[in-house]
Amino acid sequence: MTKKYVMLADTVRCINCKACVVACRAEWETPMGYTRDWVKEVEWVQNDQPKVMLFPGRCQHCDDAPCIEACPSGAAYKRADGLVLQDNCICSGCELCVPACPYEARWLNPVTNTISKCTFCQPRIDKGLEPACVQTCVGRALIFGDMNDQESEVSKLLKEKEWVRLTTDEVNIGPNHYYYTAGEALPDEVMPKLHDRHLSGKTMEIVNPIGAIAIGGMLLTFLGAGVMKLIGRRNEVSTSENQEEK
Amino acid sequence: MILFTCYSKNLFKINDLYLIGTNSIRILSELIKKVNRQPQLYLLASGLFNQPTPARIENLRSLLNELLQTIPKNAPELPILMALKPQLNYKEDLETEYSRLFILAFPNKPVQPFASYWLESDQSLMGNSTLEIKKMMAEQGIEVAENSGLLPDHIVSELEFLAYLASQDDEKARQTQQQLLEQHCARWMPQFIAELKQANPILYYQLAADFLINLTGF
Amino acid sequence: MSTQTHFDPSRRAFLGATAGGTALTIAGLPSQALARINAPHDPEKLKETTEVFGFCDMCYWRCGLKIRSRDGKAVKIDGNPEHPNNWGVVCGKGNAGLMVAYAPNRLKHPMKRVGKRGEGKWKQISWDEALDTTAKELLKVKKKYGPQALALIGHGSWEKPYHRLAHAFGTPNTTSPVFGLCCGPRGLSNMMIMGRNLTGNETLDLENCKYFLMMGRNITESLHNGETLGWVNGVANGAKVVYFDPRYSITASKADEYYAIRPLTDHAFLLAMINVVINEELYDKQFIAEYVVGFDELKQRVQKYTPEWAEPITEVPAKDIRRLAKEMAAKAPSVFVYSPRRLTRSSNDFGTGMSITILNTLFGVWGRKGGVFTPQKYKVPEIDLPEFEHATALRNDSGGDFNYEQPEIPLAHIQDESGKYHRADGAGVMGRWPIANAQYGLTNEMWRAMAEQKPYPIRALITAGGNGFLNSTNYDIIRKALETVDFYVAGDVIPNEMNMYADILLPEASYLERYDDLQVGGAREGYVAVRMPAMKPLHDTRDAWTICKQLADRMELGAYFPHDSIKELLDDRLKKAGSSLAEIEKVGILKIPADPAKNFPLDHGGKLKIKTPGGSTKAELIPGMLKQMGYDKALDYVEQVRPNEDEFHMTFGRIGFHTHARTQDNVWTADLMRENVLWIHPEPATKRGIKEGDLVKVTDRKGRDGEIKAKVTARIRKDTIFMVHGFGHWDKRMTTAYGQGVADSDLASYAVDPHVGSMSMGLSLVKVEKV
Repeated sequence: MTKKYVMLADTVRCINCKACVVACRAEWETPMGYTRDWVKEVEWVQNDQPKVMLFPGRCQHCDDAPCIEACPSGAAYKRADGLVLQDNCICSGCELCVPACPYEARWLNPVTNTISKCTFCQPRIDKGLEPACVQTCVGRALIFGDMNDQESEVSKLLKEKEWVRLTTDEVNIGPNHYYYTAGEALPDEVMPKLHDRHLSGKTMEIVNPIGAIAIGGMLLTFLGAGVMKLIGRRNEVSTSENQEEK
Repeated sequence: MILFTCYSKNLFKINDLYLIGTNSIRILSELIKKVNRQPQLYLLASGLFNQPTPARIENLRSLLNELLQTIPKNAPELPILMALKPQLNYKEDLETEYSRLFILAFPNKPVQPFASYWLESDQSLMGNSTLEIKKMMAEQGIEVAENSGLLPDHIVSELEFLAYLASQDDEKARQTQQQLLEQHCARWMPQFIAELKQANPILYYQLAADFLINLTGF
Repeated sequence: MSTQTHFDPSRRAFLGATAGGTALTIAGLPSQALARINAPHDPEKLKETTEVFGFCDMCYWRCGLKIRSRDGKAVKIDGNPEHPNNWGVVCGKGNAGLMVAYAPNRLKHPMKRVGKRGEGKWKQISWDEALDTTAKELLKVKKKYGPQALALIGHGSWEKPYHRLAHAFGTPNTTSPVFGLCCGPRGLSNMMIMGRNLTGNETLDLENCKYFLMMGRNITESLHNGETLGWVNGVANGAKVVYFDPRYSITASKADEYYAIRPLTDHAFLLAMINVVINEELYDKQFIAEYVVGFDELKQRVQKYTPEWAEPITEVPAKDIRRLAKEMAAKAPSVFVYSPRRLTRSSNDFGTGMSITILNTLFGVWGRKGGVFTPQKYKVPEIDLPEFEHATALRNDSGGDFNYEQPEIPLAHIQDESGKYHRADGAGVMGRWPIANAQYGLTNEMWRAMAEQKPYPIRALITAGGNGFLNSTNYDIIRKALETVDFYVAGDVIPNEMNMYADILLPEASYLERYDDLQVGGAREGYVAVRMPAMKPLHDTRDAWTICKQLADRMELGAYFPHDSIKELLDDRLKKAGSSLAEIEKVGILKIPADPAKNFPLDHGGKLKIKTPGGSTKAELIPGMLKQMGYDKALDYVEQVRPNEDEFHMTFGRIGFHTHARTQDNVWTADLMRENVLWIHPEPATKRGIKEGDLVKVTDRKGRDGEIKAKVTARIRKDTIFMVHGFGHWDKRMTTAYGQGVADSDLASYAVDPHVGSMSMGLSLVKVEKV
C-alpha cells in the first residue's frame, strides 16, 4: 500500500526548546535569516489566568498543495507518499510559490537561489532514518511516520488521541501535519492565511489591463527562464537516470 | 633551460606534499629568486598579514630589499614598496596592533582574516569556502601544515597559495590562480580591506592593505 | 519560513488559469525540454559522514552524543540513544555546539597581556612561551607564598585535569561554582538528612511519578534533557503537576495547578505542608518506623507552621495546602517534591532544602517506583597517582554527585598541626563553613578570599572556563580579586569578561575537538562514556589534558600526568575496568544494565542502606550533626525581604535555548534570542507608562542599573520582574553578545547563606522606570 507520511506535533509535550529548529539548520545548512521549521509561542489571558501554547511548524506537505500549482517550471512536485518536494535543478528562483503557501513555509535560499523548505527530511527518511527534528526533539513531541501503516506509531497515536489540523474555512488544503492540544482551541495566530494576492489557480484580482499584459510578459519570461535553466541543468544529467518513468 | 624547468617544477615542493605555513619566508624567497616577481610579491603580502615576529619582520625586510633591487622603475607597486621599507622594523607595537586588528580586538571588532567569515551567512569559520580552498590546494598537492595554526582560507594561506601558483609554469596553475583570485578572493578581500581601514590601523597595516589592493586589483 | 520579510508581495506576478503544469504543455516548447522535465526529479541528497561518540559541553547535564563529520569538520550533532542522560535527544543548545568550534572570535592562539590587566592589549605568543611563562610565574608564587597561594576556579569544558594539576601543585583551593552558586543547599540537605546526595544528574523515576510538587524547577526551560523528557513522560502517563513560581513559565503552562507564590517564601509553604502531613498522619508510617529518626522532634518544631500561618506569607490559600498534602499522600510513594535546580535565592536556602528533603522522606519516596531510585556505578579505577601533599579533598568521579569524603580537619583556622592549609574559602573548615562541600568549595568565598587576601595570601589564579562576573553578583569583589593576584592564567575556548583580565590566555580546543577523561555516571544503569574528537583542533588550540600535562612537566609534577597522551590515560583506566579505549570507541558508552531490585530496593523486598554524615543508619529528619553546630535552626522559617510599594523582586532564570553566560555569543543560539527582556505585569507597567518593547531602566538599592526592553505580560506577579540569565555582556570580543540586554548578575543580591556559605542571589529589590 502506498505510504502516506504525516507529522504529528504533541503541543503538550513540546517545550519550545528550539532543538528542532537548530537541528534542521545544521542538517540542511540553512542560511541565517531563514528556517525550514519553527515553534510559535502564543500567550494570552483567559479568565484572569495566563495561558501559553506552543506550536511546532513546518511545511504541511498538503494533499492539495497550492505551491505546486503556482510553480511554473514543475520544480515543485508531490511524491506518491505525500512529500511535497523541490527539484532545485529545475527551480528558477522565481518565487511565485512563496506567497502561494498559506503556512509561509517556502522561501528563496540566497545561497542556492532556489526554493527551500521542509522536505520531511526526505534524504534521511529514504534511508530509514527519522527526520532530524523528530530525532532530536527533547520532549518527543514530534512523531513521524506512515499513517497508512496500521502498526506505525503515528497510526496508533492518531487513533488514541484527538488530533487536529491547521485548517480554516478559507484554507482547507489537506495538510499532513497533525496537532494534539488536549482539547484546547487553536489560537488564531497559528492558523494559515491567504496572502492578499494569493495564487490559487482561481481568478485573481488584476488591477488594470496593462498589468495583465505585464503579467503575461512576466509569465513567459519566468517560463523561459525556468525552461532554459532546466535544459541547461538537465544537459548534465546522464541518460541512465531517464530510464525511470515519472 | 633544463635546469630552469626542473627548478620551476619542483618549486616550493620541499617535501612531496607542500605544506603552507611551515617554511619561513626566507627559505621560500630563496627558492623563487629566479622567476618573475609575482610570487615574491604574494609572499610579501602573505607575510605582512602574518604574525609580525622579529624573525618574520627581518625576513620580510630581506625579501623587500631583494625585490627593490630588481624591480623596474615604472612598476606600479614600487611606491608602496618604498613606503613599506622603513616600516619593516620590529617593535612590540606591531604585535599588539596585529592582535588588536585580527585576533582579540579591543575595543573594536576584529577584522577576521578568514574568507569563510565573510562568505558564510552566520559568519562561521570552516564554511563551504574553506573546504573549496582546501580542495583547490589538494589538487595542487598542497596542504596547510597542522601545527601552523592556520586554516586553508586564512588570508596568509591564500596568499601563500597564490605565491605558489604564480611560481608554477603550467596552465593548470595559471587557471587555478585566476579562479582563486576572481571567484574567491574577490568575494571577500575587498570587504576585509575596507573594514581593516576602518579599524584605524597603524601605518604598517594601512600600507599592508594598500599593498594588497595594488597586488590583487581589488 | 523567512525570519525576515524578504519578499514583497506587490511585485509578484499573477498567473491566471494557466498556472502550473498546464503551462508546460504550451506548444512550442522543445521536445527535448519536455523530456527533461518529465525525467525523474533530483532532490536534496544526504552526504556521507563519519561518526564518533562524545558528550555535550553546552551545559552540565552532559548528554551523550554522536557527532557526524565530513571533510575534516563536524557537521551535525546527534544524540546517543544509549546514553541515560538523554536517550538520544539533543536540545537547541546542544545542536548549536558546532558554532562553538566555528566561532570566528574564539580563542585561537596563546596570548600574553601587554599593558594593564583588563585593558585588552595582547600579543600572540608560542605555546612554549605561554607554558614556560605560566610555569615560571606559578613556581615564583609557590616559592614566595607556598602552594596554597594558588587558586583554581573552573566552570569549563571538563576541568578535571586542571584540578589535578592544582592539587599536584599542592593547593587545596580548587573550586567550581556548582556548589556555592547553584546546587549546594539542596544537595547538602539530602546529604545531611538521607546520606544520599541528590543533585547533579538526579536519580528520579520520573516516568512513574504520579505527583510533582514543584517549587520552581522550571524543568521545561532549565533543561536537563533526559530529566525533562522523563518528566514529560511522567506527565503524559498521568502525573499531576502542581507548580509554584512567581512567573508563569512554560512549565506552568503544563501544570494542572499553578500558584504564583510570593518570591522567597517557598520554605514557609513547605513547612506548612510538613505540618499538615504530620498532623493529619499523611506520612508513610512504615517507612518512618523503619528508616527515619527524629519524627517526634520534627513534629514539635512544625506545630507553629500551620497553613493559616503560611497563607499570608506565601499567598497560597491554606485550604489548598491541606488539599495538596492529602492528594500527595494518596499517590505516595510515587510522588516528588521538586527542588529548583539552583537553590541560591532566599536568605535561608538551606532551610528550604531541608524542608524539601523532609517532605520527600515523610512520603517515603526513597528507593521506590515513581520516587528516587538508587543508582548503580560503573567502577572505573582512577590511574595510579602519587599522594597529593596539601589537598584536603580529592576530586573523584561521582557521576555528578558531590563527594563528601571529609578528612579529619582539626579546629585550627588556617593550618592544621601537620602544616596542611585549610581551604581559603572555608569550605569544610571548622569555624568557617564546616558543612560546605570541601571538594567543589564555595566559589563566591574564594573570590572574596582573593580580593581580601584573607585568611592568607592567594597570589596566583588559574581559571578553566567560566565567567566570574556573570555567574557572580558582586562585580567589585571579582574585579578586585582579578587585579590583586600576581599572576592570572586563563584556559578557555571563548573570550569573556573574566578571561579579559588574564596575563596569559591558553586557547582550548572545544569539546568537539578533543578527548577528555571519562564520564563516569550512575543512573538506573551504571555507565562510563567516552568523548572522542570529531575533528582536529582548529587554529592553535590544545585540549585541556595536554595543556595541564605540559604545565605539570614544567613544574616537576609530571608524575601526576604519567601518560604520554590522554588516549593512553583513557586506555589505562578502561583496561583496569576490564575494557579498553578501542572497545568503548565502538559504542560510545559501556553500561551495567538497570536492575530493578537494586534501583528500587523497597519494591523488591530489599533494604535501603543509609549512612548520614552524622553517622546514623537512619534518615535524620533533624540531623544530629547540624544540631551539634546549632545549624538545625535553619529549619525555622526566616522572614524574607519584601519590596516597597514602588519596588519589585528581582528574579532571573533560564530559557530552553540559552544557558549560563556563554550561549549569548553563539551565533545560532543568539539567533533564537539576541537579548533578554524585562518581564513586567501590565498593571505596574501601565502605572509607569511602559508598553511592550519600551526601553526601561532597572535600578537596585545599591544604585546598580541597566537598560533593557520590556515584555509586558500577565505571566509575572505584580511585585516581581524577571529576566533571562546570562546577557548584558560588555566584553567587545564577544561580538554577538556584546551590549545585548542586561546582566542579571549585576542586579542580583550578594548575600551568604548563614549555614552553608553559598550565595543568596534572590534578595535584590529593584525599581523600574521608562527611559
